[in-house]
Amino acid sequence: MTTAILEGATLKGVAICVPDRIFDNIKDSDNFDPQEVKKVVTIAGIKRRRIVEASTCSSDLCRQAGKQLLEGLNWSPESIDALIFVTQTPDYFLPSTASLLHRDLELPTSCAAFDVGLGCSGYPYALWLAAMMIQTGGAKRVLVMHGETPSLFTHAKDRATAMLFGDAGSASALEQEGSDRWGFSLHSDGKGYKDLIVPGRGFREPQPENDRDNYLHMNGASLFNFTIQEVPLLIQNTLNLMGKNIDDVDAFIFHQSNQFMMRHIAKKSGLPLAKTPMILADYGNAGGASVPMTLCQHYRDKKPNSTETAMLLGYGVGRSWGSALMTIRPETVCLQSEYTKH
Amino acid sequence: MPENKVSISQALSIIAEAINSPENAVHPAAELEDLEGWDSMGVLLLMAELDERFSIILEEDTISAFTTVSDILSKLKEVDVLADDLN
Repeated sequence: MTTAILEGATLKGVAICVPDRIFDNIKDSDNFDPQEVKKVVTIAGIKRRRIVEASTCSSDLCRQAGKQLLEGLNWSPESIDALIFVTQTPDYFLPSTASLLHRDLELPTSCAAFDVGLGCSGYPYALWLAAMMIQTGGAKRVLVMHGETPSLFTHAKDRATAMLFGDAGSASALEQEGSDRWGFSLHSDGKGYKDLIVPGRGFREPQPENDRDNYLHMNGASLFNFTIQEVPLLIQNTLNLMGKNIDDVDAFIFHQSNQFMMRHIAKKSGLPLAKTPMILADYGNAGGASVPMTLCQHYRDKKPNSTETAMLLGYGVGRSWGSALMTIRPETVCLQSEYTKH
Repeated sequence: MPENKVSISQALSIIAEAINSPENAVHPAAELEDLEGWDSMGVLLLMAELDERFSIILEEDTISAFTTVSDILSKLKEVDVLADDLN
């Protein structure tokens, strides 16, 4: 088990950018029987999703979020020491998408910029990396950007996935400040790599014979078992690591996988539903970007008067899972915008 | 009967309720593929119900081997949550 308690990082702000295009699962799902759609909407809890046009990439959403965040914090691009971009929907195989964002945000050549190829678990992993950079003193200001456009790799006729996914981009600003201690617990089980996979389009199988293999395959039963066994343990291990209990945590920010699964985990883990915000009714499952999006919306609405403790939970594709138990300050800036194509 | 064990009729009700299928359609001889509600989502709902009620984790291989409701009852008997004997 990889665990870490890191000190000295502060979350200064989070910005989210979502596409302006709204897909209403009930009205717009022409490929499926209306009763079937109603069932998925009721159980998965996804009424509407924000989805991109085919020409829009996760980097486009993140660029807008990043610009808005830098402006909102009044941070100059020159002050950024590192950019971590997390995605499973990069612009190109090479170069890294972080390079494109580095250019677009006009970051200095002294800034380290790289991609992390993780999905649902990516946000806690990226915060871990950023907090380590800050604790070592190698970076004072780090941008973590996490964007996904999973709607583009789901097959329109796959009833298991077609109505689940939305798209989103995020930017989070971390700075060396104070002495807050954040706890992380990170895990992998590569034996489950086929549970969520796009078999084609990579170098292993660039042009699959079956076109269906160019799209996402999901083994729902296997993922479900993985999730209900590992996530409650992850929550408990993270609490133990930091010497806290459920009452000490103000919000459990889940990857927005689906409502039914999240409620089941919450119940199994003894978490009050009031502490597990859900936003997927209006946005769908935006992969790992759903974690910063939920964090942003929750604290933008809540506007806490004092510092809060939040546990962030990512789990899924890989299989990979991880948590971050961190502080959220009242002055943390939370911004949201709709994507405007330039 | 131990507190957490259920009768066959209770088990049938649990299955029907979990997958949102009419209770009179869920009987031991019923073919799962003929049951309203037995689809990928229905399977997950049943898995969640059995986990919550009995702490049973149904493995993927086990689920894919189910063809009738009786197969589910046999599994419940095997893990000792069914009080009645199966004929």
